[in-house]
Amino acid sequence: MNITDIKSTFGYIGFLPFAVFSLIPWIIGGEISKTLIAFQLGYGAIIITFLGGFAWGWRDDQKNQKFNLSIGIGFSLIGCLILLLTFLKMILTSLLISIFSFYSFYIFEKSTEDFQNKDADYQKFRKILTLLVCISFLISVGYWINPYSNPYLS
Amino acid sequence: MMEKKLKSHGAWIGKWTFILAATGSAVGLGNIWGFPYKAGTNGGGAFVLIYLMCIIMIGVPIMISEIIIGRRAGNSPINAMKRTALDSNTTPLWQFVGWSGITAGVLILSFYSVIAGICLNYIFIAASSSDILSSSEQFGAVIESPGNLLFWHSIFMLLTFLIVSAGVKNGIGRMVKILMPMLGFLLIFMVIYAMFNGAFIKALEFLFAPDFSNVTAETFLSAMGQAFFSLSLGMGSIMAYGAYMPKDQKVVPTSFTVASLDTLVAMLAGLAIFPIIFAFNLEPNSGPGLVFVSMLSAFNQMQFGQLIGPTFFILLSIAALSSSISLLEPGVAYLSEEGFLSRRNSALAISLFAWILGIGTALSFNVLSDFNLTPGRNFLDSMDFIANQILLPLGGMLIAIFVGWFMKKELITNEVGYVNPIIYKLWRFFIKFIAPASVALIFISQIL
Repeated sequence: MNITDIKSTFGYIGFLPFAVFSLIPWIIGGEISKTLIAFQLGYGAIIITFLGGFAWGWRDDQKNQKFNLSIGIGFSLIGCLILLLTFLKMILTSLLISIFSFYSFYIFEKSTEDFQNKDADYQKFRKILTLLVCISFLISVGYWINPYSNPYLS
Repeated sequence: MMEKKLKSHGAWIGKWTFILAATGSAVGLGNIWGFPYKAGTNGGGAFVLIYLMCIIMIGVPIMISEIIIGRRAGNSPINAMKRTALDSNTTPLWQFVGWSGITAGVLILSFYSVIAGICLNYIFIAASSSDILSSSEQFGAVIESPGNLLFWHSIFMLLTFLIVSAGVKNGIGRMVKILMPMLGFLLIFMVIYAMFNGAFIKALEFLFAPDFSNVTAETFLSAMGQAFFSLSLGMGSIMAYGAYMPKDQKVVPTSFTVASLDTLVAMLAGLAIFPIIFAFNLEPNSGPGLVFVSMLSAFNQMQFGQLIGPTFFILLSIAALSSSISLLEPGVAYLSEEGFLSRRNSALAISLFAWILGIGTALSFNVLSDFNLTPGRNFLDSMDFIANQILLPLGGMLIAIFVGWFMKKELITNEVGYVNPIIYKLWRFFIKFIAPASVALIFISQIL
């Protein structure tokens, strides 16, 4: 397996919790759905915080790298914010910020020289993974605001 | 070998054009208003599982066969069948399959255009709906007016004619690249809307919760029928589209992609429609009653209904249009390649013929509702009976028998290219035994 295949395999395995936490509420419903969506947010917060740290590992001599370091810290702080908002039970806000931050991080990463030098397969993998994660959060948003789902009713 | 030099029609540009065109052909009104209800009332997830099994064992094998015949010959279904039969040292009478497919296509187009015309009409009705008429009264008013039905039937037929007459590359190829992404976008929009506002969990349960206690012999028959009819098989459309498919495109994965997209659209349609139906406590239904009565009733009651309603009927019209062009194409391809008429005139002649037949269908809703063309069936039901219940299953069964038992093995392997030997052997088994027997069963069950 080449390095891109290894990265994409681990990447998709890492996506599985997102898929499970967003789909299970639709299948089983009930009080536990709230917990599952909170888990999804917690997991997402950890991932986005970790992704923010990526910027520190990028090549130092590339364009805008000093600025990239600050942006990276910004994404890590957003991860902390999501965690805090989830703790404060502001679930919908946390979900929307998660969608925004994951997609923004992809745009940020795409703009770097490091990303542009990666092979086409890796670039495609990153795009698909970001879309899948955003869709999983969108599915949770749907569950959260749907008037027939449990969180709204209780 | 055939002596006569037949006129060429051109080819699709890129491998996705065939996939989009074939998916457009397969995705029609039946997917949207038929599959979800059948799934929901026949055991939900259990039905979906049986349906997927039937797609693999019946639908995909026949689709592969149609593509092989079409692409190998590069001609319309009639000439493709004739050429392949001659090259397989068997009787050219197999061209009957092509004739039966083209006849079925034109007959279906004649009444499909009337129904699709109603969908076009409903774009405007849904946008300007009022409380004066209930949705069932509204539907009654629409179908009781021959002038109204004929007007929209003419508009729809004109659209179909314009697309097909523009040619394979500039007409059908270009339009499916616009229509199919638009269909996908609208469908996803409707599903997201339903996920946010409709009784989505109830719809998920209705469509996917497996209930094996509801599974009977009827369920298997219904799933087999859905798998066969849903993929536009037996009418020559896939064979005609296959004729324009690039030689380097792999037949087997492409067929699976088309079948998967067709199934995905049918499931998404269910997830777009039923959450709304359940949210307004309407009874799940199928066919025109579901979309023209129940859905309109829901749109009349819901917030932003005058926006969501037209969106839904645009979606239906696109699905109908992408199918209707595939119904017209085989006949047009035959007339123009034989040199009888130019492509434009061939499209005009067949569209006109189908339009005239469609008048009978339009009138069968009102002034001719008591007139029976065949015993116990009015004009529309008779057309449906001849095309959908006799010609299509017959065509599908004969294609399976021809490829399974009569077509030379080397012709098949040359066209299929390299395929995993296990998949190839499975396909051979399905096309020789399972597909003909299953389609025969569908045929008998439809007739009885």
